[in-house]
Amino acid sequence: MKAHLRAQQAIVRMLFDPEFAARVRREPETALPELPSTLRAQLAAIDPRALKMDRLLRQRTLRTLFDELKASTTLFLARTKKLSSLDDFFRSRAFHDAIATARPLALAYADFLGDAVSPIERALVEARRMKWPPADGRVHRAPGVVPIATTAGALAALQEAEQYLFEVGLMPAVALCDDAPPLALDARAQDPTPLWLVTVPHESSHTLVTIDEPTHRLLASLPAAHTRALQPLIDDEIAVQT
Amino acid sequence: MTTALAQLPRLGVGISAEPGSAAAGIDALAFVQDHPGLVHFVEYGADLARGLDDHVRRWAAAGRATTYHFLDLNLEDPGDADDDWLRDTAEAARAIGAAWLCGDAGLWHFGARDRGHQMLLPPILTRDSADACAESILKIEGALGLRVLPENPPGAFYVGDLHILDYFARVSEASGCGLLLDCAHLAMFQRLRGLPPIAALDGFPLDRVVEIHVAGGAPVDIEGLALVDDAHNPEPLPDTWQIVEAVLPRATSLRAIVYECEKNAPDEVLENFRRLNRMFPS
Repeated sequence: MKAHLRAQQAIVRMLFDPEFAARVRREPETALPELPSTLRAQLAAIDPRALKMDRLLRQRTLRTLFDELKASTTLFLARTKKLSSLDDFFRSRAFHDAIATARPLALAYADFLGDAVSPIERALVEARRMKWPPADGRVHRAPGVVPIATTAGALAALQEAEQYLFEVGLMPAVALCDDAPPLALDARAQDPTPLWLVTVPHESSHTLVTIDEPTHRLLASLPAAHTRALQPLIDDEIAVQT
Repeated sequence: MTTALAQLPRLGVGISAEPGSAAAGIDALAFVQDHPGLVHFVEYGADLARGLDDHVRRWAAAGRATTYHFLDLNLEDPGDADDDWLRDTAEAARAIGAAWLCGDAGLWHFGARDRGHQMLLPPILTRDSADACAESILKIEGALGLRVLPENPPGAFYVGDLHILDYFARVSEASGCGLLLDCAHLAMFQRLRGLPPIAALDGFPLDRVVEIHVAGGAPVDIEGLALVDDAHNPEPLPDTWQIVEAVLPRATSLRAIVYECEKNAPDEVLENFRRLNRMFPS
């Protein structure tokens, strides 16, 4: 990659992550080893106040990410109880690696959310970004088809989080109230019963279809369509297990 | 074959538009009905994710002139103009009969063209970046047969050794492209470098400027740092007008002036449209 494009990547990281920007100013050689010394010095000289010009950059980006991972973010915040914990995303390895490797931010954000992420929302994030692979004579899963191995409890947790968001969304000002309704996951969210689903493209969206385990294993064994900006998820050594 | 700059049509004074902008701001068709002779074309700014809206389709269907301003291409990265972008952008531009393509030459998205990846950063002002920008323009013009006018972007800071006018002079020299000079963005750059508004214009190929932009900017204070927000409010800064007045007599290839004001109320921008039409009569 050309130096000017690497410099743009570094600027993006500085805009989102003030701690990284401070490190660039403090120790540019170690913070930006990939840049030539002239560009490194110029980035280190950027006035930190100028990086604050777009003061809603992170909130706007989180809002976009939240759109795709609503329930997962809700489950994450139910644990951390701190809105600022979402800002940690922009300090995370997942974020900085995504910028460096041109990985979709939504997938990096899903990784950041860790085990709070709903496997169903995570699969939908992937499904929306798939495209046809080059023809290579093999059978691939079609774009938008992602098999999911999860539990009935995970599906229930997703539905309960969505219901919570719906109710809070009726009057968002409840966030200011001490007696605002909490997110309470009931026993259904703990149900360990295995559940196999698959995302299926439908018009301009995706729907979820319940499948059985053998079908899941078959789909999971097939090479996937490309995920945009990711390494192709194709494995030449795949063997179908029955 | 792309059209020679001299063969490009003279469009006159136009107004900017974006997806949905007519609903909240100025509907160009209603504006020309109410105020004939002030707006001669629409410059439609879009990314492929949002596409063409009803407003620009109605304008084009009425046989009126347009240009297509991309909001989703990193000109510094020739690989960003991939086959999908080229095909879909050509389709959108042709659907509205765009006279040419234009767009800020910088970073419109980081990483993949994806949700949440949008921003606008100026190019890194180096020779390598300018050469890459020129390569992109040659690639797009060759594939689409439409002229591409790179525009100097706004910024709260600029990185690189070159003056932004020298950067775009190099882009034009290397690619043969015409240029879009945004006078409001240039005013921002000059202030940040502590230069007079018209500094470095003497070395800039003004004879290759096909289009200029005029827009309002809002001075802002970020913890004591004086910056200009590219707010597109009604009133351009005095610096911007000074640049316009210096450029017009020397821009011998000028075909279009866009007043970027679509988010305002019509009566707030009338006087500036009159002023621009006096400066650049159709």
